[in-house]
Amino acid sequence: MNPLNLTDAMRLYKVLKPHLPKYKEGEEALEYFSKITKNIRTSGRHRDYVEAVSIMVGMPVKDIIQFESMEILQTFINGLTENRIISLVEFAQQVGYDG
Amino acid sequence: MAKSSSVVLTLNNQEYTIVRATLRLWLQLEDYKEKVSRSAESGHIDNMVDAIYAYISAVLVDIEPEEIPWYDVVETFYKLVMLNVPSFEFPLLQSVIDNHRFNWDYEGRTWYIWLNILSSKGWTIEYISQLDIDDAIGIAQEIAIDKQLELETQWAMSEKSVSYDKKGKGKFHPLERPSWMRPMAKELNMAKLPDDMLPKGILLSWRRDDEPPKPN
Repeated sequence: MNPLNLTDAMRLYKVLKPHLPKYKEGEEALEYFSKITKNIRTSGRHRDYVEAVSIMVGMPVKDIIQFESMEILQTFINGLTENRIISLVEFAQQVGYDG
Repeated sequence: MAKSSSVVLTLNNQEYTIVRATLRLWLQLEDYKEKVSRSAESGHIDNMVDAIYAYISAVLVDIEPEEIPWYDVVETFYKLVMLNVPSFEFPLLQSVIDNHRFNWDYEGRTWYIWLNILSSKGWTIEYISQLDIDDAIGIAQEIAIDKQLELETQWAMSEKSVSYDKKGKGKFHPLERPSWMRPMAKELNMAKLPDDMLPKGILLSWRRDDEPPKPN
């Protein structure tokens, strides 16, 4: 998986924005990622989860849902890591973009 | 002290040494930078990204920012912005920006405003466009000060600058100055409060709701 360009990274941010918890200084990245996953699950907006993966891998949603759920989850976590989601959140806040 | 005049960037494993922009390019970059903030705050994210790409492409012509990871693009953008910050806090640039747009405004007009100001020195377009930004802003500010002081002299000599009361006593009304030329607000002096103005008695605080109050 390649890191996203700025256009797609901001699309990803927009999809994840409602599920992003406040980042605490020194918080482990994996802990932060699991909060995002949990927030998506509890919100019931599972479409956002699949859409985020679709942006990360550049494939249509209909193709993503054919994969095993564990494989999708792994891709999701890898995508958050690869795309430095915590830095992306900081950048969006710095420029004053509210999603 | 003047800021560093160049920065080294690494993109796609290639090093680029970028020098500070001269006036014409700098004005273009400032327009893009302003568009980045405006678009982000109004939620027009595509316009924000386009403005960042345009900023980078104006400096690094061989680069295609849409093919670079977002974090490298953002880092490059910030480094270029820092490189192109004027070395001094010119009051002229601190003036309140009026967002009101005139009928005669158009995109790219800023360059012609600056050209109009600086060409009063008899310089050519090419010379002005290549001016160092500190020099250009500094000189533009001096021209604006000269112009304002000249107008103030003319105003002071005109009848309009004085009003008369019923007794015929005149009162001078100075010409209003632009916001960046007005006196700055004085900093407040920190003064020690006299003892008789301090609260009397023992100050009490509560550590927990269930604890009795303790004296400090």
